[in-house]
Amino acid sequence: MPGFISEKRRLTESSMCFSNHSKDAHETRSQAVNDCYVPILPGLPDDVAKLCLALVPRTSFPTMGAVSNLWRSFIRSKEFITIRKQVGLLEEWLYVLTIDDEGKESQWEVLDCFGNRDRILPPMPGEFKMGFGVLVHHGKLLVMAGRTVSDGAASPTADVYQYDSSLNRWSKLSSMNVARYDFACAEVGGMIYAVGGYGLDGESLCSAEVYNPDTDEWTLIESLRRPRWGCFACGFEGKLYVMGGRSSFTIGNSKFVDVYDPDNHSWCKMKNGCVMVTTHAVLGKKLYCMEWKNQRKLAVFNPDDNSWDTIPVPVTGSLSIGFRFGILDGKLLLFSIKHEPGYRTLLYDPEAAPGSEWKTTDIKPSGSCLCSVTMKA
Amino acid sequence: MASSSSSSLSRVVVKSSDNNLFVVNKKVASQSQLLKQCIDNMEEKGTNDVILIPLSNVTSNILTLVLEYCEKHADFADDDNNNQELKQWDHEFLKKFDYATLNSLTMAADYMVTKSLLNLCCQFIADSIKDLTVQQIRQIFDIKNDFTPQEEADIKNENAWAFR
Repeated sequence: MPGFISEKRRLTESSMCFSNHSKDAHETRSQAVNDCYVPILPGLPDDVAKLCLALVPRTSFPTMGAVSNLWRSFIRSKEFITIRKQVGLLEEWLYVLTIDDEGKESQWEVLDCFGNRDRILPPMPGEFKMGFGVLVHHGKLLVMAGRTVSDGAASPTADVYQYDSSLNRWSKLSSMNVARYDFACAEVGGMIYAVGGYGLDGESLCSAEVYNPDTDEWTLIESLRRPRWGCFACGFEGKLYVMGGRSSFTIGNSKFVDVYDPDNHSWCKMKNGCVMVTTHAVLGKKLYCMEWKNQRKLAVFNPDDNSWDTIPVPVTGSLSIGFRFGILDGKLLLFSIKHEPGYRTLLYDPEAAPGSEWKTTDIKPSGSCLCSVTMKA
Repeated sequence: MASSSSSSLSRVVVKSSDNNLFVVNKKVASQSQLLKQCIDNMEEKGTNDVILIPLSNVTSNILTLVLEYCEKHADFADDDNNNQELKQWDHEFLKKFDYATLNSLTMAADYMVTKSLLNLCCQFIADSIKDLTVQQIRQIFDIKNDFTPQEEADIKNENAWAFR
């Protein structure tokens, strides 16, 4: 039983343990006090307060974001996602952009890890666009550039919007240097790259730029040697791979892969890309592509040795079905592009025992799928 | 790992910031990594005396609570945090404190490196935030509304798009 000591005994005081324990933390805390410091939760050190906020269920984030500037900026921060990851609270969501049958109205549907439709995002700001780039970065969905169509004329835009999954809100980020659509984009080492595409008057572009999420700045980088458009990109081992689409250098479709190394700011070429890719996704350390010429095979790129492999897709139902990829829980999902009532989503599990990699699942967007991304937040 | 032959004493004495002394069973004290490290260090030195550990940041009423928690948890294995009885006990234990006490307890748990108690307190605070409105959060946690009226209106507008 702990209790007050009554008798006098010979006591040896332990003094050493305070010299090192949490000294740093206390120093930084008292420094902060001098600097007109406002605590996140009065009475608690910020590191503890941050843990408290990170443990709140996500449905309360919009409320918490309305409490004060400090709370709001913390909930929007990379650190917030990092702490939630450390305590095992990150969940995986599939964001699917669907479009109605007339091709006029699109909306982002959010499916939870069981494929249940959880919610629909507030409408994307700005005009209706096509040919934009989409990616996910630290709990944010980025929708970049694209073309707006008014009076039948396509006009490229450089606008970039971000959806914050914590605050359930869209905001505008810095615009790209070059308005573009049908370009390639991918994240490499925490930076976001946009490469090629079409620019003003449908001119094909060789320009490339990089976005730094910490500073909200787009910076032009070394251009491609030749314009390239309709292409896509992925990042592996600190390098950016731009594939597919067309290049003014080649007749027909480009089999070349443009590889950018951010460390020495330079491009190099690789010969063995794949062409006319209708959908792609990165799963594990591999790139999965579907080629237009054969929609019953997955083409799988392994960046370790720059090799390609193919995996047959078990055909079900109509042969006319085209696919869009989605990734959930380490598995590749094959959604039908068109709304096909009879189609059950195919699921490919690369970790499954040989012979049982393919299954079907009820996970399915409600309409035609334009693209999908996986959000961890 | 304390292997010294002189470490036969099974109790240590912990001194609160207001100079009250608590005799604590070593197994109970070891729930706090801070106390455990002190004990290990002293035992390595091979002292035969009763170990006195002064805690300059923890008052005796809060220390009593931390030790009450440690004593309960010392009866359960480290990996027994999912034990239903223990969970129930934890909940009842925290339920009775006001926010100021909970804050002090959280800080003591942080200072004494009693990780499970720290997590418990943080989760308890998080769960209480969950059910509150913006106004209530500001009031209970004493947080100043530093938004401009325009910012506030914008946020309200956004949140009208509630999660559906």
